[in-house]
Amino acid sequence: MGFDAPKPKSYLNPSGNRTSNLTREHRRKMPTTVNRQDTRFPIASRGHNLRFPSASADTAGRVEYCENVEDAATALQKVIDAGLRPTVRSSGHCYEDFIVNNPNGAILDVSMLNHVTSGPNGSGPFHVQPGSMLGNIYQEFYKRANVVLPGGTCFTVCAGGHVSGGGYGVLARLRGITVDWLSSVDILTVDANGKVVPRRVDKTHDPELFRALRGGQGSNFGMITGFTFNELPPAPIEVMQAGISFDWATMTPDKFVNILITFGKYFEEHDQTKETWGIFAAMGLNNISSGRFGIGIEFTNPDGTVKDVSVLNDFMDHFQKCKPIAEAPPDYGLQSGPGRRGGNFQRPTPGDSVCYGEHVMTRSSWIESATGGGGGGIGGGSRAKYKSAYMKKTFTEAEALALYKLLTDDRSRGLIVAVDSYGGATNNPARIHDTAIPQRASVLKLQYQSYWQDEKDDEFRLKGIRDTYTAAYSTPVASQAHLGTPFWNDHYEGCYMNYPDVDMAAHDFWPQLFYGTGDLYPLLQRVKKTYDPHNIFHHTMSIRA
Amino acid sequence: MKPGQSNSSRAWTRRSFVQTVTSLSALGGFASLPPVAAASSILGSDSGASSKPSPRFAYVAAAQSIHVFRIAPNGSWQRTQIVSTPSPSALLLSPNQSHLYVTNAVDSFEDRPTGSVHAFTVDTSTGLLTHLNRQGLALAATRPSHLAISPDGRRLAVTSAGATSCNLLPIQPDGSVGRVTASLKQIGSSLHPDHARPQAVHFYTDASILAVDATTDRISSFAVVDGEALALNAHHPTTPGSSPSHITAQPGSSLLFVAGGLDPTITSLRLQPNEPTLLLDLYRLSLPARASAISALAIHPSQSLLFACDATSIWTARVNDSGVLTVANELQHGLKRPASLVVSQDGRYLIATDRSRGALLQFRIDPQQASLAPPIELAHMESPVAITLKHI
Ligand SMILES: Cc1cc2nc3c(=O)[nH]c(=O)nc-3n(C[C@H](O)[C@H](O)[C@H](O)COP(=O)(O)OP(=O)(O)OC[C@H]3O[C@@H](n4cnc5c(N)ncnc54)[C@H](O)[C@@H]3O)c2cc1C
Repeated sequence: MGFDAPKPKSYLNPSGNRTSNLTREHRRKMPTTVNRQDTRFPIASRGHNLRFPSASADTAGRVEYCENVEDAATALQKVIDAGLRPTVRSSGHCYEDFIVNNPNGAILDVSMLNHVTSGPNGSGPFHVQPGSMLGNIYQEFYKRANVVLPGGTCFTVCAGGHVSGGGYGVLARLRGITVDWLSSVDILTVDANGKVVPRRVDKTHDPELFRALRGGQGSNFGMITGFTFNELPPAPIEVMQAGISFDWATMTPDKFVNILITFGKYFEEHDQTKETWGIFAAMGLNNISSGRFGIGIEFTNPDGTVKDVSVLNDFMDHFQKCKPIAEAPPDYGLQSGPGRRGGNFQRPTPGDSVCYGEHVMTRSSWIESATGGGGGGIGGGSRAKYKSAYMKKTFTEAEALALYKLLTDDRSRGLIVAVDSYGGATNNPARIHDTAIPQRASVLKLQYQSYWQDEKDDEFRLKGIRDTYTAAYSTPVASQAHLGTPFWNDHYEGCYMNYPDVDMAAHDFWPQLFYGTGDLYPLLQRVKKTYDPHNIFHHTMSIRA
Repeated sequence: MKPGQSNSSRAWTRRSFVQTVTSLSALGGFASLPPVAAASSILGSDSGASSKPSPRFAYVAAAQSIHVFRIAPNGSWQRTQIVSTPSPSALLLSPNQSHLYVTNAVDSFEDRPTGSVHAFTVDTSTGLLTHLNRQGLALAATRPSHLAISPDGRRLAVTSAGATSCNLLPIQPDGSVGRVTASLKQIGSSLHPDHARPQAVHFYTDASILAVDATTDRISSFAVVDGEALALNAHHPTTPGSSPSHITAQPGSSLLFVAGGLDPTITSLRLQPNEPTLLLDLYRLSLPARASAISALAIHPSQSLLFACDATSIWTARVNDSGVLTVANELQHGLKRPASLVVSQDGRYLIATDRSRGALLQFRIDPQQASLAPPIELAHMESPVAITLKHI
């Protein structure tokens, strides 16, 4: 018996060059291959987090740009047949090394699978392909049907990873998270014989896989080619934006603690107060070297208007009571401009921001606020590290002081701890059982972020963010058996898989940290075994079945 | 010949073990040395059977450690070092025998789901090991089962039972192992999908690798491209259900032997590198029905004898120039799950690790009779799984 002649030679060529005996029809359907010799490769083989690939040896061998679902299936089959590891990319915004650390493997890029469609006359179902950028999705659905996909805030983040990992944004309190609206997913899986299988999964077809894809991250199970939402909520008409900022120069531990507790307490106390669900607030806690930190707010009422801003005023009053307008300095308000309500402007420096008369707010149409920031999406980026935590209650004094201590120390230079309001409509306990986002009792969602450019700063920056995080979750309210992490207890609900953090893999309980202590992780393991029996789709934090 | 009988012209007498204790103060970081079992081979000082060198040192992978033995010119073995390493599953010396590489059959390394390779420097005169580095494999390449080194000593191929994949790693000029540069995964349904998936790998040139794949019942040929990537060249199917698991060949030889992990068959194959059908099946030997699945293979330097062990026996087969295999002998002698075999380069000894008995056994080879003398026990340790010999 001799060796079998290999299948089409092109499947076996590591350089990705295609052989010449393909028909024109075939060629049209083949993905575009960018191999290491291609001048596009240095850009194509990276994502936005320039820490990765971690070393040149980790670089992929090729990138396959897929333009349609057939391309995607062909590319995936080709890669499997060649024995290579596929990693799937929509935008390349992945926080960790999941995609581009793929030594001589293949990155399957679906950024050109970016169609956004809807039913006739602005009706459902609403369909998005994985390479669709959130900004484009918002615009398309707005134009087509005046509806909104309640999703994230970054224009260039794409549906592929974002939706399958949960997806939340400024409308999370008002409308829930993205996967709460998801009706079906088109996905290519690879069966026990190594054959690519296209599937449309929903509540009745492959229901466990469907649930897994509602927050369990697509990168565990296959290559997603589409998401369908049978219904979507109406797009808000307008929003009001506002901000308050605090001067680190005049900050004291007591004041800092008070600000944090007040912020968290508001959302804890108003979690089920529907009139307030239109508030999205993000408190950006910067290191002291940045000079200031603050709270940004975006508000719309449940009816999508901002005719009544009493809820927003009330929220802002918790931090800052406006002084009588009569006390305003002579130049206060001179810089009024279009969109400003009341014609005032805040005085940001020095000291904390101050308002006279009424709170300063900027009104804009919802679609402008949701899609500001434009397109782009290729190249660029910086070195970065992220961590996350869900909180069910406001900060304790000890937690706030732990953050104060680290943020006023040079060790955390460059760090931002973004504390987002959360909960409201998201906190529907029924969704624990039909999605893969079990965090349904949190009122705050935190993201620790650090960005830098120079590789020489890696050690310092990584240490800064790690130390701060460890300190924040080592207070008496943290689970004493899981110190240094926001492990599930009365106070915390773990971490968010769309903000992956490989540091957590040092703990053998990391799956529970992200997926909870209930039935979800066992389900994800079962789904993994069933739909990816060869563990084709894997990365540092993929489901370990 | 019946099990337990020997054709050896020499009588076998048992020697008692000499227990001594040494210390290894110079080897900070390694486990301190337990009592040494030094065994003198009764045949140790046998004269001039071969012009090829006799082994000077032996390295045995056992439970969580590597045991180093010095082999005296008179053939006695003395344990000189125990180095800890997690779950060693296979080990191999570099072609110049200056470095030892050990696969760690672990599920996680540095918090990632992968196995690892541990590199050691070997002291030329003492044979003692010094930790060099430990390198992770590709993600998902858990529980590595086997490794091979390219003839030029610059690359390491490692198979993973967990991922059924082959990893390629560079060996740096200082002998340390660099980061994985490529990984190839083979998929296919086996007749025994639930069976463990041992695999083995063999470099037949610096740029060509053969991997036996128990899950897919085939031998795959991989090309090393640009020194760092792997590309699948072709597949060579083996008998369905045979689960090929072991491969052996003399360095540079075109004659290869592959054994099934589930059935007691051995196939001889000839490499024909310039032919489109790269491998030619020469002969398929089925061991007698009482034999169980083969757990290790070793080829004699003369290429005229092949040794295979199953759960309780070591089988000796003659190999002729055409690769035809004939069973010559079976030796049982209380073997319990021998896990690996190695033949000394001088062709005089076969050493087996007996996992269940926790013993290292040495057999004198009689090439004329194609037989093995009953063994002497060289040493005891917990779960010895692999052995390699240093001759220079
Ligand atoms: C600037 C910025 C702002 C963000 N804002 C928010 C926010 O407001 N809310 C929020 O919830 N999250 C936010 N995120 C996190 C974001 O949701 C995740 O990074 C998300 O995973 C990105 O998905 P992607 O497809 O755009 O990125 P990619 O880097 O392409 O992919 C991320 C992960 O998803 C997998 N994946 C991508 N496409 C597919 C596919 N088609 N099939 C299978 N797996 C796939 C990848 O393999 C990878 O593991 C933000 C991220 C950034 C960088």
